[in-house]
Amino acid sequence: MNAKTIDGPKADEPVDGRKAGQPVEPGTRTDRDELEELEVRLFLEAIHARYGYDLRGYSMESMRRRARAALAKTGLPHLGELQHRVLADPQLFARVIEDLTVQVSEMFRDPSSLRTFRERVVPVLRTYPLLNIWLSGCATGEEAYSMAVLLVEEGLYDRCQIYATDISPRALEHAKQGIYPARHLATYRDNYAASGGAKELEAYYTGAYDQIAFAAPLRQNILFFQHNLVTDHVFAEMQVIFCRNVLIYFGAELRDRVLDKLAQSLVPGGFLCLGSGERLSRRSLERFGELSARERIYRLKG
Amino acid sequence: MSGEHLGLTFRGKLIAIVAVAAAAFLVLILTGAMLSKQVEGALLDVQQRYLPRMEIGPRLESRFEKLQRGLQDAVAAHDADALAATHDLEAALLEEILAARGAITTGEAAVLRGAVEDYYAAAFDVSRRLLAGETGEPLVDAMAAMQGKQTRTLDLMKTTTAFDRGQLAKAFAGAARAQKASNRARLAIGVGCLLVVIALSIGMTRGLLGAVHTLEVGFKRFGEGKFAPAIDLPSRDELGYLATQANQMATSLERLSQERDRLDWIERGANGLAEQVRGELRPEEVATRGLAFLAGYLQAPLGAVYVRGPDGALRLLGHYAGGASDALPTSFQLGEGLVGQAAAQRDILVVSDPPADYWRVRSALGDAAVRSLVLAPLVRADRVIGVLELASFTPWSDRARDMLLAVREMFAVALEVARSAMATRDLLAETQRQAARLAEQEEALRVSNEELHAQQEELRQTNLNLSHQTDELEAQRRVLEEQNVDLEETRRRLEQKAVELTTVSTYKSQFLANMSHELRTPLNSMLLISNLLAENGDKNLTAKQIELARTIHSAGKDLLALINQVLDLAKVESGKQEVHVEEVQLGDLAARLERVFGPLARDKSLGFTVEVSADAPPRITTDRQRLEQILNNLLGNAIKFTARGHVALRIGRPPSGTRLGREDLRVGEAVAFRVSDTGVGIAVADQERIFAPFEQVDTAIDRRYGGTGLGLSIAREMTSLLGGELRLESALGQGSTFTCILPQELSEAATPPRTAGDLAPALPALSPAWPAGAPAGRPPAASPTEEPFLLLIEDDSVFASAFGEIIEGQGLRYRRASDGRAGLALAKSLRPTGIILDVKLPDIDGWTVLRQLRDDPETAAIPVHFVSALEGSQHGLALGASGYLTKPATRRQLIQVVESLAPPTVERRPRVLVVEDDALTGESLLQQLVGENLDVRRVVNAEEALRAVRAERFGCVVLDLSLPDMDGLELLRRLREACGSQMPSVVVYTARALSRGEVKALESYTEAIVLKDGSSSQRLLDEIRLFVRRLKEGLGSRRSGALVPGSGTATATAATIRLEHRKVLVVDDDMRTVYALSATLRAKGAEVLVADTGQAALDILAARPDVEIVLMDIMMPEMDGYEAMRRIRKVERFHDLPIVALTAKAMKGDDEKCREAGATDYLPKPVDIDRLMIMLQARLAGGDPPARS
Repeated sequence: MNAKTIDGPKADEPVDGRKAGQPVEPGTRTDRDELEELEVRLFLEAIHARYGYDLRGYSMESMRRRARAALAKTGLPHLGELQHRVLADPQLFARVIEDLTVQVSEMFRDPSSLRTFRERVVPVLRTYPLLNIWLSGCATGEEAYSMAVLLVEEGLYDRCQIYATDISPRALEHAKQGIYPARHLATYRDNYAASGGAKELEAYYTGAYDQIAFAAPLRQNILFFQHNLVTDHVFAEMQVIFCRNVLIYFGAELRDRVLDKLAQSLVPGGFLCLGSGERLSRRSLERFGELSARERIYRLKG
Repeated sequence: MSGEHLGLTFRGKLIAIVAVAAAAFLVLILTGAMLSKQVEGALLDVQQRYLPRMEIGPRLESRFEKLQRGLQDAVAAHDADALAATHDLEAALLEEILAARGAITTGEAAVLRGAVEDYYAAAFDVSRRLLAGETGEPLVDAMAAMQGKQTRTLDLMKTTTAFDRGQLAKAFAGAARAQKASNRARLAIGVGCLLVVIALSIGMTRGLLGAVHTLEVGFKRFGEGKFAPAIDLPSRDELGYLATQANQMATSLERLSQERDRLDWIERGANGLAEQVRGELRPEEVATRGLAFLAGYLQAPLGAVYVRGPDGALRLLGHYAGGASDALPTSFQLGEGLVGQAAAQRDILVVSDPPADYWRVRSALGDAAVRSLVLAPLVRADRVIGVLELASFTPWSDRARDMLLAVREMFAVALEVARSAMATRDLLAETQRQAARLAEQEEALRVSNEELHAQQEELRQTNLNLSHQTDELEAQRRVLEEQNVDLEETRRRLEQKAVELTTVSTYKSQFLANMSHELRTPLNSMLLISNLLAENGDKNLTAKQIELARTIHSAGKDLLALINQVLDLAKVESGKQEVHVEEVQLGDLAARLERVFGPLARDKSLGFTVEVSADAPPRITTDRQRLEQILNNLLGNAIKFTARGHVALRIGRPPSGTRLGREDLRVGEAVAFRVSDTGVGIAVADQERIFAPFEQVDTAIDRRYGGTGLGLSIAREMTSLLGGELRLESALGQGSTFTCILPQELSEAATPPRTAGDLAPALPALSPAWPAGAPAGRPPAASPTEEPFLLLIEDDSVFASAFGEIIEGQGLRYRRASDGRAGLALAKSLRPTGIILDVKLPDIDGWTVLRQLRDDPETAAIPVHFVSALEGSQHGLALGASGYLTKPATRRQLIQVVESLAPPTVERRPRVLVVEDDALTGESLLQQLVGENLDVRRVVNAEEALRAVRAERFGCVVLDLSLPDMDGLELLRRLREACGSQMPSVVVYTARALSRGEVKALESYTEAIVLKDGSSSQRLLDEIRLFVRRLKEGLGSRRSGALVPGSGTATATAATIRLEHRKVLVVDDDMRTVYALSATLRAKGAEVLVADTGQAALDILAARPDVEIVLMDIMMPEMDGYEAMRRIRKVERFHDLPIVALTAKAMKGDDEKCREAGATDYLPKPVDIDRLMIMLQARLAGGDPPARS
């Protein structure tokens, strides 16, 4: 669900060099860094071998921080110990994987992008009799409900199937419930209005006691399930794929691989929406045309 | 029975029974005694009356006998004394008679005594007289008298004692009767008494048992805790009393139990509520769940919970059955409304019978007003934290009120706990969220940083590349410089060559002119002489010799004509031909031509007309001599090649709309000379050729008509010289029409000086006014071969043939040379439109080939594209290649190479059939598609569409679903029937709203479905463009992407697997997979059934139990694959049905999960077709259909 950045003393403690398989002279900062990097790499390798979650392509710097955070939470002395336990305990793994991946989301995030989506993508979507929309990395589901609201308002919800996937089963559990703290309602409302929402957001949820719950009909065409963008194959033909703030955690090679996969899932002329901090590599731009580079909306070339 | 009615106690009843029994017994005894007496009497009567008589008889008789005997003895013994003694005997007899008085009546006794005494007196007298010895008569009389008396006495005695036997029998019978009667009476009375006693006993017992049963039932019921109806035993006996006591006890017990129940109920309610609101719940969950529980528990159809917010206002937190439509008020101030009031007074507030319109509770079946309300303030630690309101259809019971009183604090506590827990959770979540956001921002920052780094790196790289490129550019510049020097050299050489050429050309022309002159001089002599000879002035020649002389003359004339024409042509070509512009009167021209050619035509019996149409200008300005030369040529040819019919010359304006090849020529300012004939005509294929020098259509014609074959060339050159153009319309056997179009005014300045290289008069493109059949434009510089083609110079035959297929896939031909020299030779001789060149070739390398191609002016312009495994693009491009591609190359790249080399005109136009009944839509579609360079045909209904598809081949069909004569889906079905595997791609374009089912049905036939909407035409074009591209790339449907062709190792085995008639069920919601799988399986001969949801799969299996194997997708909406498999396995007959699970998930454990759910095998997506085939074969092996090859 989160990853606290903890640069506590634990991370700076000297680690056992022999454990990492390399006799390293402890002491200098650089050595420690190298050691930690090695440990993290081994850790990710172990996770991949045991559970199939491939985090090896993620950027080393962020993985190191996340591993440190995960380690701090468990209170274990070093990553080797955590690795050992994670290998033996799938439940611990489920918790650790959440620490290793970041899930944060809000309703109608990047509203201007959604507005562009409404204005320029939706008219094309109207020409499809059935729509498949994939929200990859849906985290706790805010995006899925936002999309449902948007599609309801555009009159497309009845003919669409939203596939909302995430790597974390816990986040998906949360997403399925569709209950969120009301504290951010003001932001949500602003986002909603900015995304081109014409009604009142209140029409879609019931709220009390600082919580809001989305109406069940919104959930009707959303299928939440666990899916690992890195290892799993695509599962259906999509008209639209939202993959926001997922690619930033991937290394360049993995990013291109995943984009190839997304392209495979899209129908020709299908739309790919990325997060505001993400950009297609030059290589990927061979496959995708830019509908709005500013809003990160791309279109698969025919 | 009677006892109950009499109200007797149980003891009384017992006594009564005993008394009745005793009385009955007494009666029985008394009656018995009475009856016995009667019988006794009767018997006594017998004893006293009849028995003594029976006894007295013999006694009396014996006494009487004794008396007789005494008398006789005394007589016999003559004893007087004895005789006296007989008195005693008589006395004894009399005594006896007296004694028997009981047995005989007194009268009888007296009679009997009299008789005895009478007898005795007589007997004594007799005896005495006998004793006395008397004899005689008196004695005998006395004796007789005595005898009489004796008999009488005996008789009397007998009659008296011989009593009546009938009397006795009668008496006995009477006694017996009496006895019987007595017995009967006794029996009757006894039975009667017994019955009475039994009846009484039964009655009493029954009453008793009934009461006891009632009591027992009652007690039992009480024991079970049901006190409700008291034991109903109204009798006043002991049982009645017992019942009353029991009822009293029950009543008190019931009261106790009710109290206990009430407490229990409240406690249960409290526990239930506690159960509901336990755990980590959010406040509204607490409210909703608690409320739901309370509403159910208290049978309240409506309820709401309001809590106090930080501002003190009471806000709606949760409600029960007060849905959005009922719109409960969302907040109250303290003291506002009943809710506020309840909160303010902190006590439970019950409102009974509110007005009927106070609040109505609705359900689907109706609505009703609530009858009562209760408002319970939720108080905790003396603080009101909220109000709970419940409404009911019935008045509120105290119990319910007590219950609310009991639970409200707990409810309040639960709310508080939830609230604080949530606050904690939220705080935690917020913290985590902020942390995550921070992390993400950091991440984004880092990524930007990395990206910046990457960009920097890229920039550095680019810089590096740039400097490299600069170096290379420098090198290139140097090369260029060198080349420039070379070029300069070449230019100079060329200039020199040009000068030389001019000189040569001049020489040639001079030579021709001179030669012509030189030839003409002797020729003239020859003609003259032969003519003279033929005239046979001396008349000394034979007819044969004359004929020979004529032949010489004729041949000479032909030769002269040829020489003249060669001269003309040479002049024109060398630019020596001069134009003398003058006014030409068209009428004069026509008249002159009529004069010249009329007789010629008539000689051949041909009709000949010259017509100047009204729109023609009276005069034109041109070179009269050349014009006449052209027309002479054309008319001469026309007459020459026409055997019958007619030849006509028509002078007028060219038809408006004629597209003219020359830009300086305008229809309104031009004059057309049309020479038409009814001759043999010229095949389209030959039309270009006849304008070439020394060309005639047919050598046979040549032989028949003679002629030089230069005429048309000259005519065309001349026309061109005069600023016009020469056209031809003709078809074999249809006659020909040559049209010479000249400008009305030819200025001398307008005729450009012409050079030899400029002789490229194009045949103009087809104009609309000119009938079909005219030749389509073809580049005049076309290669000598029929069709444009690419030359592939490549030694690797495998790559070459693969590449060849791609070229042919693009609608082009190709020739292959396997080494450089052969390639060069082919390039020179056949002039390909483009050359694809490998660098490494067996003899000379690609660089050399390219250089030689570039050096030869004939091949210098041919574009050359390198495709090589060697790096060297810089070098290649520097040499003048149009592109450089490094092997290995993708298909796409190769196609691009072909596209770059292909002449644009040879692009095959894909055929598209538009099925659209709406004229407007159809037309606009047509226009758009034609704009896409597509060959489009439109039909308006399904019948026509089917006919069109059967008759021709279309690559794509754009189909409107709402057709007048057939349903769209039906049409698609028929199309598939009609086309089989040649089914064109179908794009459905419809305004109809489609259901999910319809879409699924359509998807199996169609490439895409486009709904008519604002931006639909754009998408339709996109889809069609996509189709066109796929067609060009030779790719199949885009749906085939769901499969991978196979890992390779198993291919050989998998390819031979056949699945003839095996029934396979494919379950997948992704149409791509379904499409690809079913196509593959059908190609293997299998019968494929398709389901798009788990439920559909179950339905199909239920209807088709003969399905032999199932391919099951896992991720599907509604019912997923796991669930579907579990349900299939629940059906007994599907226990052994093989199921292959297909899933996109590649996680460890996914296959186990599938197997747990019932899958027999597991295949990850994209499906490796070889593995699937082997799996299918393994699973289906040994089955019924003889499918294995």
